[in-house]
Amino acid sequence: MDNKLLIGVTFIVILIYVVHHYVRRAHLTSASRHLWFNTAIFMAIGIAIGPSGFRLLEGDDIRMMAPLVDILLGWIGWLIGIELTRKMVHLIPKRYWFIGMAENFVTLCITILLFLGIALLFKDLLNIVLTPPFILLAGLCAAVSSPRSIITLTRRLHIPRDIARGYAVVAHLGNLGVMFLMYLLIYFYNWQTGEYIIIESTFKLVALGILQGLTMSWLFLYRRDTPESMLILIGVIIFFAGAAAFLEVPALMAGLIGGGFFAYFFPNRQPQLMSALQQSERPIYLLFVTLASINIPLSDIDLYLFLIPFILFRAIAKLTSGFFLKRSLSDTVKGGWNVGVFIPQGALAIAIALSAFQLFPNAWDKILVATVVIGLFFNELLGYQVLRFISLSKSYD
Amino acid sequence: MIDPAKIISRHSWAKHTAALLILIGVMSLIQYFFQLEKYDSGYAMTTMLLGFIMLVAYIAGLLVSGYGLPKITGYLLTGILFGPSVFGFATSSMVSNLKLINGMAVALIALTAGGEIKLNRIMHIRKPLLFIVMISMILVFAGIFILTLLIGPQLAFLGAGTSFLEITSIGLLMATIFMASSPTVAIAVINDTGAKGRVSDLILGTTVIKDMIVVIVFAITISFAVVMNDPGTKFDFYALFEAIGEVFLSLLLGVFLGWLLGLYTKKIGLEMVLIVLGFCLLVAELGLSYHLEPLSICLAAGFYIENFSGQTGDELINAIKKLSLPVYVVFFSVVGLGLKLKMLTAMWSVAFLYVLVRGLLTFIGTMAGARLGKATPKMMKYGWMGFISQAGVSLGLAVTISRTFPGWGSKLEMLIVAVVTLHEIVGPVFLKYALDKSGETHVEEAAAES
Repeated sequence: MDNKLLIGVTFIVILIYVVHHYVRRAHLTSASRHLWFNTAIFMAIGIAIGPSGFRLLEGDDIRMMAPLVDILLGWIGWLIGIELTRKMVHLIPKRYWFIGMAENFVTLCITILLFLGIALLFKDLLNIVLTPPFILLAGLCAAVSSPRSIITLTRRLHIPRDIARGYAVVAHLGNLGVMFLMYLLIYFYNWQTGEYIIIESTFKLVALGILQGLTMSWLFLYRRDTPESMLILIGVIIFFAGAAAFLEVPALMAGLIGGGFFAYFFPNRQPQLMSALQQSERPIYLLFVTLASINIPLSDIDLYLFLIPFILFRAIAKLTSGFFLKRSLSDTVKGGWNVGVFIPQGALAIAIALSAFQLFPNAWDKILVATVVIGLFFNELLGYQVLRFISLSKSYD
Repeated sequence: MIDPAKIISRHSWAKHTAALLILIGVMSLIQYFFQLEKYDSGYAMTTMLLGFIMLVAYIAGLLVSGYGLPKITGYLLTGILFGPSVFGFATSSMVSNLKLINGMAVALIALTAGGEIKLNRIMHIRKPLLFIVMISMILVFAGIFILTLLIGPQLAFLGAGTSFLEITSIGLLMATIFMASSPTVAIAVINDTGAKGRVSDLILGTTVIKDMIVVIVFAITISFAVVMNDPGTKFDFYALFEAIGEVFLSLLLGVFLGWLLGLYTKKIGLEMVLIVLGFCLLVAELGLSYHLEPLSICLAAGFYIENFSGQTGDELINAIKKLSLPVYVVFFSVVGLGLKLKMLTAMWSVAFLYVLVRGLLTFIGTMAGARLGKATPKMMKYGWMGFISQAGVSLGLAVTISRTFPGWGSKLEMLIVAVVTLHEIVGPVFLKYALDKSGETHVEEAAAES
């Protein structure tokens, strides 16, 4: 009788108990506790059930998870897109757009340059082929920040709400630019057929996104005041995630367009849908982290050789871009200190890496997804420490 | 029957119909522009179908509930209509892909069912419950067995010979399977209608106990059937003990897991929705890996949590209930997709005969049991209607017959599937009617919501 299931589950139960016990006894700050429960436990569960752990899921089982990953990607797309109301698009100062894009662009460029340096200097050390598309994708994953984490962390450090909101908006806008670049990167060149397919796939993507937004608006209006609105949300996202996978367009982008279309053209219905989406945000994020962690190859030395520079380069790039832009939000941030605020990362970084893998699995090395998932934990930790240092030294009160 | 005009307004009927048309329109648009029919049933198509079926089934459930029918009839009908037998939106391989979700759904439904069985309420009705279980099961078993012996020559289409021993084996197996009722349908309709009261408790408790007894009795009858069909074989006591062991081990494991889940809720209590989903996935996997019964594990776990975990039990049961609606919609529409109408049309006369006789015997057995157990008049009058439904366990046992008897087993499986299909369609309607008539549902509230 195969006992790996029982051993694996026992391990997970003990792990949850030990971490919980430790976190409770260690008198950690609320942010660290949040981090443990947000990321670490679910990452460990993912690794434990995957091929690096007790092999409860491997091979075909993992391939069967692909639809679930698509659904979660679509969901994350909606979570980002639903924020794009008319008010947000039109009333936010143009320079916020500029700062967001510039911040991410500078991070992207610095990360790419540093990785190119590694590729040139240590090409024999790593088994990963650091091709230009791979480095570009790594740069894009590094560039995104998490508006939600920024709000959570800044709130815990008692940074005023309007300032925190300003940071989050800038991060959000910057992320949109990165998502667009990711789309161009994946689709400028089709890795399977060797053809340029950007026009055809853009048409499919936009059509699917609009249809998704329209369907959601019709159905959501129809049952918006009932507890079943969550079912409609789930149904629409599953349906269109399947359609996106079928048409070979990223579910993340289709969700983004659908959510953006809904928020922009149906502003009256947006708050209710947004609240339904936000209710599910935490379970979705945790499930996403768990699924993305399944494939982390813990025994592969290349993972660590790539992970360390990834975290380091990203921190350097984010601090540098923050330093250059330190006075750009000076009317909202006392002293104009933005350095370090954009270090925390969220599900979008994993979503960008996974989007590429879902569509063209043979074109990229799986080390990248593993790096981004583990990097998420360190980036949250690092982001919190940097922010704490800045808030203490610059005193917001 | 309830007057539809009182329940469903024209406006809401039009709204539901418009929503249905929009969905079908969107699906047709995607099918037309991207020519879906050219492609096979990969995971992308299955995901699309799942979303589509979920939305359509939900709306169909609202539509039929306006006519006094249970919502799960709408979910089942959606599955049948869009499944391989009618419109063919779903192919057979897509349906089999979707059945993977069902393992988890069964676990969650059973967890809810276990959570609904309150010990103090069951103790109040223990006497009628035990009498009804005993008498109705004996009567259905004996009646179906005799019917099979009587119509033996008409069953020649099964491919079995007309020898007495073969007909006797078939009779024993069918009699066992038709004793079962469906706790999943019972809990779905009870939750959906918000029914509360003695009739609901009786129906839920009885279906759960019957299910467990059927699994044990089946181990005995199939061992006899094997001996009868091959006189060289000895009666398989091992298989019998294994079946009894599986039931008891499942219940014990369920109690242990229920305790663990209660402890987690009390001590940690974070991410309950994810933990419950993970629990159901784990139980479904345990069932597959160790030949345990996920239904029994979860029933026992839910029962333990509700009755022995105090305040934390309520929190947990509430977390489980939050997941109920999407799970019911998906589960019953996938069941509908899998219903084999072709088999029903091929064997309709025999299948109808079995349905009628089983219905009659259930009625008589429940009446007699209720009278002996001094049940309330409502239990006596309406209780039997809750025992018509059949689902998962019966179908699972039919598959075992097909595997054990390579000759006529597969044809007998088809006949059983045909009968279960009919029970699956009419059972929820009867149950809802019984709950409405016994005054345990909130008809007015449902109407207002609709």
